[in-house]
Amino acid sequence: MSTISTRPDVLTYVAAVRVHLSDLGPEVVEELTGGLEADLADLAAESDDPLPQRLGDPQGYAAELRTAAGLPGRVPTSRRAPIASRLRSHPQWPAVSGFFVTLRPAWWVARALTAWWLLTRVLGTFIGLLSLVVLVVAVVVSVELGRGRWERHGWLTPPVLVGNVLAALVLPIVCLTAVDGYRYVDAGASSYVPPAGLTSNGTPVSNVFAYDGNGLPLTDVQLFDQDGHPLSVDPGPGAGSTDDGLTQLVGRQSAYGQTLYNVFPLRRERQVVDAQTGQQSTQAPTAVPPPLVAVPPVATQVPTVSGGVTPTATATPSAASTATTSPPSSPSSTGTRAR
Amino acid sequence: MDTTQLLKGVLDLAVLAVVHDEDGYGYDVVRRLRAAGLEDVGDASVYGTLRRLYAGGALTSYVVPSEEGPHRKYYGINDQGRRLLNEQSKTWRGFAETMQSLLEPTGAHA
Repeated sequence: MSTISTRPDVLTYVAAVRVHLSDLGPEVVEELTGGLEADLADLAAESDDPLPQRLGDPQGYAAELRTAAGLPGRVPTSRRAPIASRLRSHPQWPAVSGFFVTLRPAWWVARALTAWWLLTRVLGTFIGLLSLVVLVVAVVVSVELGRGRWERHGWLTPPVLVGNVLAALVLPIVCLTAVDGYRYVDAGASSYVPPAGLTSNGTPVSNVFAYDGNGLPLTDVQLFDQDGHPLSVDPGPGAGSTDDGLTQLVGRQSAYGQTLYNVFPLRRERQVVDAQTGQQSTQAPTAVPPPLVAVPPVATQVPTVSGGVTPTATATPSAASTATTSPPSSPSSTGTRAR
Repeated sequence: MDTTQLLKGVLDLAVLAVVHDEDGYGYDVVRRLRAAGLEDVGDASVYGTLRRLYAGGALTSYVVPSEEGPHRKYYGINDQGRRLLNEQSKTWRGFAETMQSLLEPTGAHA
């Protein structure tokens, strides 16, 4: 009796009792249970029997305490299974249950979605707006049920219970289906094949026109990327064809007999139909007139040596002017600047 | 007959009587009540009664710290508690006499 050691089972029991009194507010709880640890420690020291066996479960103990203290009882709760009672008496119960209570609205919506999904499976997919209406109705019904708005209709309890179990069983399937749906979308996205050849913002580029520093068109410009690979347009059928379908852009022959599609501007060849014989013949490739006769010249600046770095990339005006090629209308001319 | 029902009506009186003898903490009061023969008294009922009597101004309360464990909450009676004890004692005696006289003829018949 003189030695009081606060045993863990005493602390647990008192904590559980406090939980069941928690609706009274901290001051009243302290008023009711102040010194309870010491009292129960004395009791516990008398025998090895576990506390709940001698005092009953903490819930009942708390109820007795508040009744004797002349305080209102907690909202009457139905008798619960011992396991549930023990769970509820656990000190961590309020925190854990609070978490799930917060999640309840999510469950209401989830079961409504599940019901809607099941309905569409059974009755076939509703059409557009009707499907949405059914979904909204399902959510409203589920949430109203969850809020206990129809609790006075006792007959609803069994079907709601069955529905909840069903929804809990079907919900994983709905989730899997939804995930699968996303996977299909993903597959569709990854199977997207960008257009072949040069593109600009996703649109195929059929021809390229280069202008020199003075803003004048260049011909026979060979383009390569940062790795030295040719920047070619797609030589596919119809590339660069005009409305009459008789004009086709053609590549250039390299010195080794290869057809190059990275030499710009590409020239075009035209199918000519002889009006009298009806025979088709292919004209020799001709130059395509540039979309702009000239573009504004690049601002020329006198190369200044700063910090020892020589701006080698900047062409001097004189170099640019020598690169100017003959007018684009003459296809035979070959500029040497780009070579 | 279920004595717990009877106890409910007289628990205040019993607790006041015990504390009147000597100050006590919760479990100490329980033990003294049981030692006096009220074996069915519930721990929580006694603690609750002590708290209610204290809240009603019939008891004083003080905490005795313990070096080895949780502090103990002692209860002692005050003037108001003594008046209450007197009143309830009278009521009880009157009630008990009434019951006694009510039961005696029945006992004579048996």
